[in-house]
Amino acid sequence: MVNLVGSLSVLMLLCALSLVALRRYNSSIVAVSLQSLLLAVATALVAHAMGNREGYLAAILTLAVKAVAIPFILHWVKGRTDSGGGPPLKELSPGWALLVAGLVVILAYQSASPVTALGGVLIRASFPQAMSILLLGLFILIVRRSALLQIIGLLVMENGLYLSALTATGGMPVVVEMGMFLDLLVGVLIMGVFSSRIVGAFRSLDTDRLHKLKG
Amino acid sequence: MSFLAGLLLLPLLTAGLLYVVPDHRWVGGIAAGGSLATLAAGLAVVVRVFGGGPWRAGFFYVDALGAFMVGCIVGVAALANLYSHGYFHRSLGDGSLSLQRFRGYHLWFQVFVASMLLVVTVANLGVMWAAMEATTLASAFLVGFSGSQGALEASWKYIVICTVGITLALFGVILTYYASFHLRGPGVPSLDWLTLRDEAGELNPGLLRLGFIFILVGFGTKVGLAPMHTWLPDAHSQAPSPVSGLLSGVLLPTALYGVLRFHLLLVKDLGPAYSSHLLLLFGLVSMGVAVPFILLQGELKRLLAYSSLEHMGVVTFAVGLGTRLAFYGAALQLLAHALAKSLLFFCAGNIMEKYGTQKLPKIAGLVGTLPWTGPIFLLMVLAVAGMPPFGLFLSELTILRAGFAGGAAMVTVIFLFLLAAVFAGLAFYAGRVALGKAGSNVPRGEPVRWFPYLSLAPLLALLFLGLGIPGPLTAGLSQVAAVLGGVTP
Repeated sequence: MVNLVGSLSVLMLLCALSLVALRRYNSSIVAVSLQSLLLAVATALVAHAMGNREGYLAAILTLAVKAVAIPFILHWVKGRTDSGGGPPLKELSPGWALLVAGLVVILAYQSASPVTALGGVLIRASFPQAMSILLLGLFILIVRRSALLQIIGLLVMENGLYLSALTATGGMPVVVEMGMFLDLLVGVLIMGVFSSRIVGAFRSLDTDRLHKLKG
Repeated sequence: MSFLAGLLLLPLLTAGLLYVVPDHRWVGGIAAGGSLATLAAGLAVVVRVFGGGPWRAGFFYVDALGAFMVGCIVGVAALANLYSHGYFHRSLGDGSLSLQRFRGYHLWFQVFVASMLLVVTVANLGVMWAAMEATTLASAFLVGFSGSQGALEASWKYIVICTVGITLALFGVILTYYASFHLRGPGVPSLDWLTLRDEAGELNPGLLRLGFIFILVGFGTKVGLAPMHTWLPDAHSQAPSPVSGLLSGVLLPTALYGVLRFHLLLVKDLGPAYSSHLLLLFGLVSMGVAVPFILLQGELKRLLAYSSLEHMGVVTFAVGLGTRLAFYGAALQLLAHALAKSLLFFCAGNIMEKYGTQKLPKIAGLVGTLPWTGPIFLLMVLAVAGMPPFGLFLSELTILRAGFAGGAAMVTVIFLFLLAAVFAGLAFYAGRVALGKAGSNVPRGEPVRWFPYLSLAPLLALLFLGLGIPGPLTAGLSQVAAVLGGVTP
C-alpha cells in the first residue's frame, strides 16, 4: 500500500508540474481532473489499509466533487470565454516556469523533513510530494494570468493539502472533510460565476486587466 | 436541539424564507425581522455565558471570548441590516436596483452572518476553519454587489487572496491535528477545542510551531495583517457601505478570533515567547503599513479601510504583549472598533449618496450639508483616531499602560509613534471633509431620514465606553481577558 500511495503521489506531482507548463485550457482541465482522480484512488487505498470506512466515503466524495463536478464547472467557464476570449495571454515561458517549479520542488522536499522525521513509512513516502504539490499550486496561482488557470492553481493547492492530511493523519475528521468539500465546491462555483462576469466586463479572462484599484 | 444551534439556524431560516417568499416586496421586512430575532438570540447567549460560565452543547462551545464575538456580530449585523434599507432606498425607488437583486443581497447577507456565528461558536477547530472559508464565499457576492468593474476587481481579489490564505491555514490545522497524534503523554487525536486545550501541554512542539506559522499567515490574510492585507482596502471601498461596515466591524475580528484560538494552544504548550513575539511583530508591521496610506489617501472608504487595518494591528499587538491588562485593552478595542467603524461606514454611505463620489478632494463642508451625518462622521473619525472621550481612547491608553508596565518599553514606544501618526492623518482628513466649504450644487439634508435614530445606539455606547464603563461590562471584558490569558474556569 505504501509503495502504491507513494507512486500515486509522484504521479500527482507530475500532473502539477505539467500544469505549470500547459497552455491550453482543455489539457489543463484534463491534467487537474487526472490529479484529483489519482487522489481519490490514494484515499481509497489508505482507507482500505487502515480499515477506515469513513475513508471510502471521502474517496467517493473526492471522485464526485473534484474529478467530476468541478471539471464540469471549469468546462462551463471555458465555454464562456470561447465567445468573448481574446488572443492567448503572454505568460512566463514554459521552460522558465518549469525551471522555477523544479526549485520549488527542491524547497518543498527540504522543508518537509521536520514532519517526515516524526512519521511512519507512509508519511516518508508521500509527504514531500504533497508539500511540493501545495507549493506548485501556489506558484501556478501567482504566475498565471488567466482567471481559469488561477482556479486550477487553487485546486492543485487543495489536492496537495488533502494528500498531506491523508498521509500524515489518515484523513481529517469526517465532519471537517464534509466542510472542506462543501467549501471547495461552492468556492469553485462562485469563482466560476465571477470569471464569467470578468469575461463579460473585460472581454477576456486576463486578470491583469483588473488593476484599477490602488493606494 | 440546543439553543446555540438555534442561534445559527435563525439567519439560515431567514435566508430560506427570503428564497421562497412569493412577493418580493416583503423582502425588506423579513430580512429586518430575521436580523432582529438573531440579535435577540445572540444577546441571550451573551447573557447566559457571561452570567453562567462557558457553554458546551454538543457540537458547540462558547466561552467568554466566543460570547463576546457573538455579541459584536449580532449587534453590528442588525445595525447593518437596518441601514441597508436606507442605503438602497433610492436605487430601489428609481428602479436601478430590482427587488429580485435586493432579495439576493439579503439572502447572502444572512448566510454571511450565519457563517461568522459558526466560526465563533463551534468547538471543532477544523469546522471553524471550514466556516471561515464560508464567510469568504458568502461575502464575495456582497463585495461585488454593485456590479461595476471596480467591484468585480475587488471581489475577485478578495475571493482569490482570502481563499489562498485560508487554504494555507488548513495546512496549519492539519499540522495541529497531526501534532495531537504525537502527544508526549496519553490522549486521543482530536481537533476539538476542549480536548486540545487540555492536552496542549503534551502536544508536539515542533509541529505546533510550524502549524502556527501557516495559521498566522492564513487567517492573518483574512484579518488583513500586513503584508497579506492587499485585498482589504479594495473590498472595503467597493462593497456597499452596510457590507463594508460588517466586513470591517466584525469579519476582521472574527478572523483574528481564529488566530487567537491557536495562539492560546501555543502559549500553553511552548510558553508565551514564540507566538506572542510573532503577534507583536505582525501587529506593528500592520500598523506601520497603514500609516503612509492614511497620511496620503484619495478615497473616503479606503481611508476607513486602512484605519481598520491599523486597528487590527493594535489588537494583535495588544494580545502579543501578553499581560492581563493588555488583554483587557484588546477586548475593549475590539468592542469600540465594531461600534465606531460600522457607524463610520454607514456615514460614508450617506456621504457618497450626497456627493455622488468617494474622492476625498471632492468632499467638503459635511457639517453644513449633512446636519446629522456630518458631525457624527467628524466625531467618529476622531474617535477611531483615538481621541477622548470615546472608547478607543481608553482602550489604546490601556494597551499603552500595559506595554510600559509589562516591560516592553521599546516596542511600546514604536506603537505610540504609529498611533500618533495615524491620529495626525485621520484628524487632517476629518477636518478637511467635515469643515471646509461645500460646493453650491450640494443641497442641505439627510439622504436617510431615520439615520439619526439608527446611529444613536452605537454613538451613546461609544461615549459610555469612554466616559465610564458600567460595572457589568467591566466584569465581562475581564472575563474575555481571562480567556485570552489562558485561565480556564
